[in-house]
Amino acid sequence: MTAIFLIVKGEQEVIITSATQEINLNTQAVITSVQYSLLNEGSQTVNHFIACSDIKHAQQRAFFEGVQGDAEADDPPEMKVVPGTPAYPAGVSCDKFTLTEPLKSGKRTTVETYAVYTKLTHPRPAEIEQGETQRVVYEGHHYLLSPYFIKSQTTKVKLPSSQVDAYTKEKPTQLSGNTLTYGPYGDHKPFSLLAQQSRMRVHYETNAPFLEALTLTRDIEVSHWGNVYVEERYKLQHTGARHKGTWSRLDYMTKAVMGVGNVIPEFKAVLPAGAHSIYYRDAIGNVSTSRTSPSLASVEVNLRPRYPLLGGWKVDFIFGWSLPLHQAVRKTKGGGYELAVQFSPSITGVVVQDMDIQVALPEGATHLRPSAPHPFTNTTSKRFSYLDLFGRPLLNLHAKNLVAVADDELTVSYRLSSFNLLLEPGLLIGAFAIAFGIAIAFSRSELSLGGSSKGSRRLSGSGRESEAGNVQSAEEVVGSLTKQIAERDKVLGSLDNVQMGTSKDDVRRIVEPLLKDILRKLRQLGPALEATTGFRKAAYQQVLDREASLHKAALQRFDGRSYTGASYTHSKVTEAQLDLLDTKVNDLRAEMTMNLNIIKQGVSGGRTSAISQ
Amino acid sequence: MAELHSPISPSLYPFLTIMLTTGGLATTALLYVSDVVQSKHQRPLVQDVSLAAVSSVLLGFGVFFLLLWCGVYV
Repeated sequence: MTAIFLIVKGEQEVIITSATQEINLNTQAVITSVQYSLLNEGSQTVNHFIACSDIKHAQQRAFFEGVQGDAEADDPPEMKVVPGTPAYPAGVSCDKFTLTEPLKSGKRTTVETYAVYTKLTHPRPAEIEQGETQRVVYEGHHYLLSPYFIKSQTTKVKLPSSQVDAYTKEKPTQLSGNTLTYGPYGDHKPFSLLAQQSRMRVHYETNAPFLEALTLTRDIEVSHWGNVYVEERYKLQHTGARHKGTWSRLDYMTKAVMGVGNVIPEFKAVLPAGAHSIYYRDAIGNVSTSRTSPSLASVEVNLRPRYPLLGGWKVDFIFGWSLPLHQAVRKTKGGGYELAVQFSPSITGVVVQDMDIQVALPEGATHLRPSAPHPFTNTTSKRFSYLDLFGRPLLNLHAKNLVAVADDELTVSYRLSSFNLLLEPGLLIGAFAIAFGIAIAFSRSELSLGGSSKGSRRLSGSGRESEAGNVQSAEEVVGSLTKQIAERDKVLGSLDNVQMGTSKDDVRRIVEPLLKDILRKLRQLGPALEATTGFRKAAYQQVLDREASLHKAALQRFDGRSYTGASYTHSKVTEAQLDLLDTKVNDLRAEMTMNLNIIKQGVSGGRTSAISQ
Repeated sequence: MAELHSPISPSLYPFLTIMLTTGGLATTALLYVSDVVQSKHQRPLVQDVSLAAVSSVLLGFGVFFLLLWCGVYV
């Protein structure tokens, strides 16, 4: 195989004096960390470092990070990956890092790369029965693939247990306890043939949970009034050795140790410290088998699905909680805000194939800028939620092939004005205002079922041109008024027949509606009377006021209490009150006649008829 | 960067709900009682409209804080 590669000037002069690779196979994800000790033998300063791996591995890589310097120090500087991988032999994929401290000629430095791969281990046998242990195969390389000359290298493979069925041997190889050591190996040229062709294969036992989320949707809704809702919808599958044969719950429950064989009985989720109102439900309803243990640093939740997961089995559920606003959103300099929540799912040890994150920000948020440690694609749309006028901005992020790593944070920065915050109660106020407005309009309008009387017809135009019309309608007015007074006479006539001992209630019941009705009709005449010539509004108003007070006085006589807010009494009418009633009735009659005369005079008596008291 | 807190502390939500809703209902009651007691010609429209405005503001905020108190963070 011819190795065709591009040599960048300066690279050949850097050599790796020693390299230690550690492949951690304890969990379903393979974690590889390599420590390189570099020496710049050339004369020029080197700014980059190139790390390579098998291309099949690189395709399954979920997380990759390079760090220069002492790995034990706090927060060593992270090296940036230069985009665009250089071209190297077939089957090899490389990444170029920019060194945070350029390597001067003759100097040494250490670089450490850390990579997490998913789906690199495969269960063999692919199907097992209940109670059998699960065995998986890992395939890799004995030697490091590197464009640099390697003087010495060692590979340590950490296994979950000391039970290893088979492993390839490449002298010197040693298996002691849980660790399989390959090396130390001597000089290797850049991309030596041996490095490319010498394959490692380890077949070992593991009971680590192989849990994969086929689809995961995280829904985050932010409310500036104090809360951030987070809801996750999972579709989890056990992707270890598939289950074959029967499933016996009795056998499962009576086994000495839960989790022998590849059974996943529960999931653990780690939530931020202030999480509350946690719910766990599925399509059937609430799942009660869950436990929460809050602590100062976090809230741990143990979720147990309705059935344990065996190889190949799936489970769907919804898991959500709320966060206090101050834990999730910060104010940035310049008046904006920044939402910071965890990017990866809250359930630990899950490998995610496809993740959708939907972030709903308060209505009116603008300048949305998401950022996350993992590559993602995003689109923006709208969601109509509580008290929304024109919709909340909804950010849809999509990421693939994800594992949970420490300190991964999704930040979304945005701008929001306080006015938008007030729009929400404003909507409610507006709704109430409209309701009150309609109520006021109804109570003020003159709606009646029987049609209005002739007297309430509005008269239009100036006096001169419609004088004839005025006189005629004025006559109509007078006529209707006379009719009304006759009606009232009837009412008062019925009062004449009130016997002693009649309940006040009854009297009131007869008198009041009729009086009110007449009063109302009299008022309706107002506009017509106003328009007639010679009748002054003030005079009319006087008549009306007198009518109103008479009306009030008549009713007051019955219970001796004030009219407004009084409750009717059921006592009987006394003789004294009857006498009073008679007097009042006669008074009313007299008044009515007087009023009628006044109106007649006013209507026909000319413009300047003054009405004296 | 400072933490963002809600404009009104959530511990105040119950108090505000009760006060504002009660006030809103009281002014609504005033509005309807005045409609029944006083005849509409004696009652100026300004009085009606101002009572309705005050009621709608108080009730609007009252219902809003009620929603927040119940955990429906709108």
